[in-house]
Amino acid sequence: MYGVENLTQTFQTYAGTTMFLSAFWVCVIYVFCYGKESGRKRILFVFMLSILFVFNDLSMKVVGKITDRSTYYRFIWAIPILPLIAWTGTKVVMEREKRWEKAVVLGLIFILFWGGKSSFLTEGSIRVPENPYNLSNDVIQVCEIIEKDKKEESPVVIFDYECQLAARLYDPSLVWGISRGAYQFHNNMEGYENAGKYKTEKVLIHAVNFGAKDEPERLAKALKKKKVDYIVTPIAYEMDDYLSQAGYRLVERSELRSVYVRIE
Amino acid sequence: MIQLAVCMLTLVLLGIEWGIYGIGIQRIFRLKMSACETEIFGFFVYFGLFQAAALPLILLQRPFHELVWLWLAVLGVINLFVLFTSGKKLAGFLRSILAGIWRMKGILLAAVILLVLFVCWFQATQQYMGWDTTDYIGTVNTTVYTDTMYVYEGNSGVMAKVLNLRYALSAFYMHSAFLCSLTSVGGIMVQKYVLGTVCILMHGLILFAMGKRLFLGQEKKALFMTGLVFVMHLGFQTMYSTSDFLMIRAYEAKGFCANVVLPAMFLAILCLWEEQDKREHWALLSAVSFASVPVSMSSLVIAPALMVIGMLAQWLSRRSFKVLWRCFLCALPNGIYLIIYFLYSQGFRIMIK
Repeated sequence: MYGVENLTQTFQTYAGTTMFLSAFWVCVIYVFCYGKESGRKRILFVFMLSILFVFNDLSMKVVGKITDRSTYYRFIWAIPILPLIAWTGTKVVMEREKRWEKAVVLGLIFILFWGGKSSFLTEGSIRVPENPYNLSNDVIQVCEIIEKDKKEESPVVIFDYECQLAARLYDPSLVWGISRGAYQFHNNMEGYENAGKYKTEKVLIHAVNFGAKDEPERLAKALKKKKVDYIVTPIAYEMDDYLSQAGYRLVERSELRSVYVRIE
Repeated sequence: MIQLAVCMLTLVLLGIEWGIYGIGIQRIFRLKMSACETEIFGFFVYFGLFQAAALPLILLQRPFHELVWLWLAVLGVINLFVLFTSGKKLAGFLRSILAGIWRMKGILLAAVILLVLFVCWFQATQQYMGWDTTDYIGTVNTTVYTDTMYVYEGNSGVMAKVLNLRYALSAFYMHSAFLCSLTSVGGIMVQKYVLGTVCILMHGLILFAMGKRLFLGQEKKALFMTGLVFVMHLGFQTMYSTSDFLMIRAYEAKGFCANVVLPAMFLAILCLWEEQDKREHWALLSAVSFASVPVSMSSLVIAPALMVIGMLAQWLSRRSFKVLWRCFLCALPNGIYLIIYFLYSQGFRIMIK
């Protein structure tokens, strides 16, 4: 969770547009009003201790120094938000005597907590994977092209962003030529200049991920420095001539990508 | 398709294994738990023991196949021990599960089972792909491919300079690698189909146990509560919610922390609030605590924080120092991990040989 300054923002970002946190507070009040005496006492103590030890900005700062402030939202996982709402919901539904009353209350709960605003069930989410690996067929094709052609056991490969994420999940013998850090810094063509640490990788990303063809010498130098054996880039970039200047030839094309190998 | 069938078989065998581990430890410590709690208890004991076997080998940078053989030997010994000493109990355990299902038969049970199975299918078919995915599944694949543990960076395949204790202190992904090398199925399938499903099913089981505890043994109400939580999971999509880590990223250790470790710890605390001297509840709490880091490094601070707050609340309402002392003992393993992790964050390094 990046960009959060304090705990209030953390809670707001955690809940997003949903009503679950508000519903949770309603349920806490319900337990406090209708629960057993011992239960009420404990809830009060838990509430106070949580604020004292965990859910305050000072703790967020201190713990954030050891672990990471961006992961502080995970403390909210320890709050049983959904179980408490469900427990209250179950009590409310099951305590109705008539069936139609149960149905109405259940319907209300569903509408209240699951209005569809932030549902997982969207048009694109119900899908059947292309293959048992649940990876894109094109990435698998790319890996198999390299596998057929490779002379070394673990070749160094530079990929476009999407292919890089998936390739080693299918074939762990491939070694990344561009690091995670470099790709994370380099979200677009411009936003990179300050990341001096990844200067070499920048020119590689420019070529394979954005199809830039304006730095042939720097590219050749970077490819040599990183000892890149294979280059994988989208077909649409038409890099055959540009990469041949850098000493790479086309091996084969998959449906969406071209695979180039270093000319020995 | 054969690989998918192997994944399903692995899932069933793991379920049986956790039952066996649960029964074995109950036998040794003379505990008596319900079938539901036995399975949950067994899950944590299993991962805790796996960590005990794996961590020394990881820190010594031994080859991965040594861990595979060691764990196979441990599995063999524990299975034989339980079969010979508690064979009847094991049969009783299976019978009580079937009897429970028979008792609850009806539309509600069918609806909840269908809902949970739908969530399992949904999780398995999602194609979420982030840097974390490459880190975690990459680690599993790299371990099997290179026969090393954390010597190569999981995401890139590049040799590491130091042992990354942010990941290496938890053997969760080494267990997935163990399953991969045993079944010859790739890391992505084992994580998505086996471990992802395990996370959802364990989450359901813990909720059901929690419901039974809260509704004083009324199984239908517990079942209804479980179903309601799953319905709400479908509608709680923010990038950080426990639901996101159940519906999309259940195969990650973080998903287990959010949906298995912390709810199980809450269940144990709930039990102790009701009966603070019952040994079974303390056993469950210590097993969850002991295995919280082995299952997920994200539990490092969160799990003990939840436990300490829950137990302090109990102490404030009952004023029993025994509670605090036992709580301290339960939090000890995480304390040790925390010290090591703190030293690592301050520059303590184990160089790769």
